[in-house]
Amino acid sequence: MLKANRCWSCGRTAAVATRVCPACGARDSEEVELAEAGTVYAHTTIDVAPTEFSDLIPYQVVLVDLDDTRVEGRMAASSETVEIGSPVRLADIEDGVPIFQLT
Amino acid sequence: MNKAVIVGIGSTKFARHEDRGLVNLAGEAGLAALEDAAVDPGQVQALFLGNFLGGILGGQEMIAPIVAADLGLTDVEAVKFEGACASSSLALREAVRLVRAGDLETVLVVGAEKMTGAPTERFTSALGLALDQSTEGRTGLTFPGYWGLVMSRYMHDFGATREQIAAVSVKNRANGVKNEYAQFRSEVTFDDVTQSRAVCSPIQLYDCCPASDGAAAVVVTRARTNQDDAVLVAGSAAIAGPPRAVDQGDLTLIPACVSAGDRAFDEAGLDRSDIDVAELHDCFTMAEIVETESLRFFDRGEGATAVAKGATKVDGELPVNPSGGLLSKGHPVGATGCGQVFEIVRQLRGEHPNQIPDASVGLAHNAGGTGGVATVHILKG
Repeated sequence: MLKANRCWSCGRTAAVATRVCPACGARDSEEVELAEAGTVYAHTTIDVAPTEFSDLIPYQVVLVDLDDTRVEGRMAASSETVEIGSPVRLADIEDGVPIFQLT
Repeated sequence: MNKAVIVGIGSTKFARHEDRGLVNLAGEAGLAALEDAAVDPGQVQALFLGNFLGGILGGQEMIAPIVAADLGLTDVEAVKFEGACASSSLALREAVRLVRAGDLETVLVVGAEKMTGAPTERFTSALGLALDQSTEGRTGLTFPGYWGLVMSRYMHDFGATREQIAAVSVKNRANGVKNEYAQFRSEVTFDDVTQSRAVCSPIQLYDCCPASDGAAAVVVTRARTNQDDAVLVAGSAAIAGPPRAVDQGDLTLIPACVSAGDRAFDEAGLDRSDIDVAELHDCFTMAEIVETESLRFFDRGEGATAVAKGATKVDGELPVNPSGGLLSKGHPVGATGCGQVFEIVRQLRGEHPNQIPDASVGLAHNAGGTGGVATVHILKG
C-alpha cells in the first residue's frame, strides 16, 4: 500500500511530504492511501548504474500517475518495456520503492 | 548601486588530468584570472569557490580556504558554494550581488572539480547525490536517467525524433574541434550518436557529456571609468526549483530555468532577440533543447526542430554552445558555471576560436541537479 500526503487546505497530494504546502502555504496535512493502478508518465531503462544498483541492470525507472499523484518507482524485473500511457499496477514495495507490473 | 563587471578570466584545459588534484587545478585557473585582470592577490577581498565532489571523491572539505592559501590570499573571505552542477554560477551570483551592493570591491570566483580519478560506478553514485534521495536516489535513477525520463516524455509530447535530438551532439562536437580548452576535439556523426551504446534508454552514450577535471575563474569588480575590456554583468539570476521529478509537473520544462531567465532578462532590460551567443547546460543533448524552450528562445516543442535545421549552429540565428558545450568540453561539475562565462567573455572580446561576428551580448545558463537550481547570467561586452 502506497501512502502520500494530502494538504488539508487545498487538497494537493504529493508523494513526498513537506512541512509547508508549496501550493497554498498551509501547515496541516494528512496521510492518504494511493490507488494501486495508474499509467506511465515517463520511463527510462538504466544500463549504467551506481554501485549499489549494478546487480539490477537493466532496470526500468518509471514515473507513474496514480489518480492525481505522481510517484517514482521501478518496473518489476520481469516486465516488458513500457510506453508512455501504459497501464500499470503496484506489485510490491521493495526498500520503500514502488514496483509496478504492466496490466 | 554599483555595476558589476568581469575584468579577468582564466581556465585550465578540461581533460582527464591524471596527475593533478583539485587545489592544483583551482590554483591554475585562479591565478590566470588574476593575471588576466592585472589584479594582485592583495586587492582581492573574497574568494568564492564552486565545487561539488571535492569532499565525497577527494576526501577534502574546507576547500575554499585551502585554495585561497594556494593563491597567497590572506585575510580574505573564502566560501564554498554548492549547487551540484551550478556550484560556481551560485558563487558568481553572490559575487555580483555583493559587488553591486558595495559590500565587496573585488572578488575572485573559481569553479573547480576533480572527478576522473574514480571509477565510473563511483562517480555515477557521487553525481547521484544531486538527485532527491527519498525518491530518485532510492529507486536507482541516475543523473542521466532523469534526462532519459525527460526525453521519453519530450519525444511523446512533441513527436521529436532520435535524429533531431542527436543534432545537438553533432553540432556541439563539431564546435569543440577548434576549442583548445575542450576535452573532446573530434566530430561525431548522426550514426555515431544513434548507434552508440545505451546508457539509460532512450539516452545513448553520445547524448552524454564526459566526466572531466578542470577549473575556470573570473574576477568580478566594481565598474569604474578606466576599464577598457570590462564585461558588464547586465543580468544575474539564480532560482531553486522543484528538486525532484515527481513534483516538477510538466517534465519537458524546467521551472527554475524559466524563472531565472525571466528575472535575468528583466534586470538587463533586454529581449531574447538581443542575445548574440549563448552557452547552455548541455549535460545531455535533451537538456540543451529543453533549456532553449525554458529560456523562451523557442516555443514549446520547437527546440528540437530548431537545432535539427541548424538554427543554433555557429552560423545560425542563435548560436548555442559555440564552445562545444559540456558535450565537448566535458563537465567538471563545479567548474562548468565559470567555464561557460569564460567562453562568453572570450566571445565578447572577439577572441573565440568559433567567433560569432560582432558578438556584444551573451548569455550563460547553468543548471544544478534535476532543476533544483538554475542560474542565468547575461553579459554585455
